[in-house]
Amino acid sequence: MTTRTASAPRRRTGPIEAFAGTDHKRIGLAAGGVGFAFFLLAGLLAMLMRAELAGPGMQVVSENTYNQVFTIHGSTMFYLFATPASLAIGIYLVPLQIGATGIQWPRAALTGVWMLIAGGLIMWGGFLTSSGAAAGGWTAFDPLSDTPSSPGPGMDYWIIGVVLSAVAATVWAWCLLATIVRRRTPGMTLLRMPLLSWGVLVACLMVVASFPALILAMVLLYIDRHLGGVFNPPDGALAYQHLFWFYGHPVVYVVFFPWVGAVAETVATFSGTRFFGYRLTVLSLLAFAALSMSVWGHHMFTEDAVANRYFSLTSTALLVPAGIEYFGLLGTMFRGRIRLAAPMLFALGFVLLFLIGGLTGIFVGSPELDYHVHDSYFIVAHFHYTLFGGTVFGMFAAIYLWFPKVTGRLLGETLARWHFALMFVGALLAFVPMFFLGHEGMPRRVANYTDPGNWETLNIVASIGGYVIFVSIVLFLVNVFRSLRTGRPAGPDPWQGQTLEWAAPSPPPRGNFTGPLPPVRSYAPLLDLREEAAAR
Amino acid sequence: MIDTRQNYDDLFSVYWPIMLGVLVVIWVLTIVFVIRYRAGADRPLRRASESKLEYVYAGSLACVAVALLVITFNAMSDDPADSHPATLAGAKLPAGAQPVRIKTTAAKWKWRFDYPDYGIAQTAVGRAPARLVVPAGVPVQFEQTSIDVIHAFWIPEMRFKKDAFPGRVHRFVLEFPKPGILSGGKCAEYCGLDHSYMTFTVRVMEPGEFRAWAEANRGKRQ
Repeated sequence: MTTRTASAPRRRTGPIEAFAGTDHKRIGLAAGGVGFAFFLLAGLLAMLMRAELAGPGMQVVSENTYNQVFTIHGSTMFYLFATPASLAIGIYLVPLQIGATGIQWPRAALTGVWMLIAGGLIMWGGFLTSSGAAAGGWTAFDPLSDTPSSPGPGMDYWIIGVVLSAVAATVWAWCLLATIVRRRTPGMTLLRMPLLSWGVLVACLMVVASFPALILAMVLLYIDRHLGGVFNPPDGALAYQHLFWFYGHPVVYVVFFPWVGAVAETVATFSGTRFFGYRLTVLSLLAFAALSMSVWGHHMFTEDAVANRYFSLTSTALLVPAGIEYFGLLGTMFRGRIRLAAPMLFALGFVLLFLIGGLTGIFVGSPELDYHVHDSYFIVAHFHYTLFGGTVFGMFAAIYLWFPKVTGRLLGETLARWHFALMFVGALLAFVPMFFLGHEGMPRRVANYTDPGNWETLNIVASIGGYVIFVSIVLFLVNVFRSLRTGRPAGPDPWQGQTLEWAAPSPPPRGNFTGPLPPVRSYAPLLDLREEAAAR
Repeated sequence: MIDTRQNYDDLFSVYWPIMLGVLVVIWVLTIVFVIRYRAGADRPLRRASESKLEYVYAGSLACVAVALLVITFNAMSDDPADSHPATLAGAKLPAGAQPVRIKTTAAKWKWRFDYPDYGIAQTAVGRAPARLVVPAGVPVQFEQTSIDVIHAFWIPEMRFKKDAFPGRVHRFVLEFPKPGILSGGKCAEYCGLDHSYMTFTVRVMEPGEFRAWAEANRGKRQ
């Protein structure tokens, strides 16, 4: 076995095995790969939007096309990229981290991959119809999404795509929950699970609790479009929003917690120490998830329809668990032995950039402040710091950290640094101007605007930021393709990892582990082994 | 009576410095830690948990949340636009002030402002957006609805926004502080093809000037 890992062989995988194998690693890679492909596609749509918005007037696309583009950008990012990717990392890594040989119900999980592919193709297939793709925004509020306002098959395709991806996510969540409940190795108590696995567990709890509301909303919307009589005035539009946001807020934490866990492990590994305040952080994740089920009304502050004070209370209360997580991250670095390798850079980017989204989230949690900035570019800036600063930076931290585990080879460090530097600067250039635009009165989801003075400048800066991000992603892809061929062999544990997956060969064989597992006496079993060896 | 903008700015002036302060502190701490605790030096590692410190910290976070909520709730109670029945009954009106009533109707992709006391209807004409004409320093009572999809009435300079739903009437009160031409209002809720162009102009007049305008245009529908 040692010779195999040292030479980092690449076992050729045929397309059938890649997309029809029942090994959890194949399923996780397929789900994550499909999700990442949709991330790239949705990113291209963002580039198109930044081209159009770089100046006032219509230059690149028509209003109708622009509306389809931002709809499919947001929908793809949420339904086809962020949610699948956040669960895919769990499908790949949770069994390894808890010392299991596989995932529970692998065939169901594999079906989920195919549902995601089908759903994505159907949603994007709307572009091929004569009336174009859906143009109702990623939320598809009724009555804008009903047949009189959105005729044509694009909206129907969108609904089918959303349902398929949501069912896939729900299936994966149940598979992962069952895996965590039933397949932990002896000694792996819940409070010894690595933080990534905890993040995935908490995300799965929210999926099974909130995604059924989305599926129901979509089925009812489909019925309403074809038979009518579901979301009728005066309150049908509100009923749709209650169903949608009951899903729509928890989902932003579904696509966040696994990456919080990944970043926490990255920070601990590259600070050379175990995570600070593990128990309270686990507790805060659970509190976060519970609270997140009660905050959906903060999307409806300007609608005269919900108890604004109640939803302001629950939303503001989220700062407590979020603050605890930051305390743990900074506490881990405090007096650590920090190594600035690529995964750590992206984890630091996550810490710094998500903070902007988190703090402005407290800001918009106040109804009086939200009355102004709601549905403006301020909100666009806010959620891009949570989703790009949080989810995407966290995802790249995870990719750089676990790429050697998955492929047996390390990603190139020089290109990684360029990728990080450009993406970090790009994220500041692209989204900071949007706070000013929104505060000065630019609504979101507009194809055109008139410049009252400085909007063109701010929009150009945002567009430049967008293209800088684009370049950084190209560098990442170059790095991946080069490293797959010529990357340095990683060996089982290139980073001095702390959790069980680093005891498996890279890449792990079917069944995951080749020898007996190290004893699990804490949430950092490999660190325990190293400390015992040093003490001896 | 304070206006919505003043109410917003007061709250903003508390929230924003706190946000910026926390942002700066955590950015600085992160950067300092990365520089100070780089691997190499042989320092003792800190413990994995300091439970007392953690719980004190969690408690102080909760206090911050409570403090923010108290000032937000106070600002909500002071909000002149709040559609609370007491506001509409005139409880917050200064003595002698007669509120002006305006019915706002949103439709793809135009606004319409009706002044039922004067029989005036202001709508978009051709490509020119509808004109909202209001008096300064007097409460203006809005009754807002939509005839098709959801829209939202937003006057950025007033720091105020309210959705318009088909089949529902939303009531709110705005007081425009001083005469002049504002930078305009717009639809903030995405409503389809020409959402970007669904704007209106806002002209604020002296109360006397407004009465003269209203009398001169009595019964006019455009």
